[in-house]
Amino acid sequence: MAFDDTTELGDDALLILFANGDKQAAEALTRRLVPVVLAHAFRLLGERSEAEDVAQEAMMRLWKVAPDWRQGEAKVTTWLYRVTANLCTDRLRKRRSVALEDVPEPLDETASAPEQIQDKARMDALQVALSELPERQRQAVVLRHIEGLQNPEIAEIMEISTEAVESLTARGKRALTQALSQRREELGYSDA
Amino acid sequence: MRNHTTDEQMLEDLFAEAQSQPAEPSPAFMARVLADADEEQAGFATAELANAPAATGFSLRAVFATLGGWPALGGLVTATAVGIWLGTTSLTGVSDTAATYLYGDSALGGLNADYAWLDTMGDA
Repeated sequence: MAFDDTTELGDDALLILFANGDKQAAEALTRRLVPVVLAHAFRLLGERSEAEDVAQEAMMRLWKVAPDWRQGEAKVTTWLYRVTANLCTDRLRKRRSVALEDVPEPLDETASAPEQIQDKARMDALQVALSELPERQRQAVVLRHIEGLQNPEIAEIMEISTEAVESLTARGKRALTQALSQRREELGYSDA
Repeated sequence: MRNHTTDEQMLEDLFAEAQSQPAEPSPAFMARVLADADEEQAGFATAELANAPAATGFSLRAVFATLGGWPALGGLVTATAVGIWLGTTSLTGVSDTAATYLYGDSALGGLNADYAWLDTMGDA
């Protein structure tokens, strides 16, 4: 590995390099972590610009904590998922005072072909169904079934037991199935 | 139309589709995050400089520490006081005794007797 090759280094090693003034470490961490944080924030909030605000704030908190980071004590992504989820919860609490019909529907001018429209409709339907879940259920389902994390890591992020994670994901999936089953045909799925 | 036997399979299909379409950050957004990182990093450098001891410049504290602190200062004050006392008081008794040792007749007279033969060299 070349001395300046940051691609092979772990997140925590990069964070310590960043705290020591390494510019390449900042770039490597941004490339590696921003997509993860943004995707998670988007799944929890369902709105792109709000997700960007949350992702930027979560990353800012990471930059600030870097000088005090102790290598090997915590996983950077676990810490970031937790910070992102907390920031999303704050946003959702503020949002509750706003009526659902007042929130503008996101528009995508580029989607024109029928297949693209239906793909988008499917993803929107999933997002709407996710948004209707209780926050903890939504977070557990997103981490397990969209981010693809294992239950022990989700338990660490959410600071609960793995059994509680299993319970949350199971209940979340049941609620999603129920909500989406009524829209099978609309979403392009036929009965068996 | 997608054929699925159960609602559970439909949900798994939707999860897979969502997984394959992550919210990609735009270059402008990445640049904003990186700008925050740069700003924060510059702050670390300033904080380090502020906490570091002054590397150059005159400092009475540094001189004091170099001399050895309070114990050394006590010794210096004592030595200075003794020096001033010796320089300002008349110590006639001590001066007379020192002169006797250095220039006394007995010592010089002995030397004169020992080397008197030198005076006779070259006369023959």
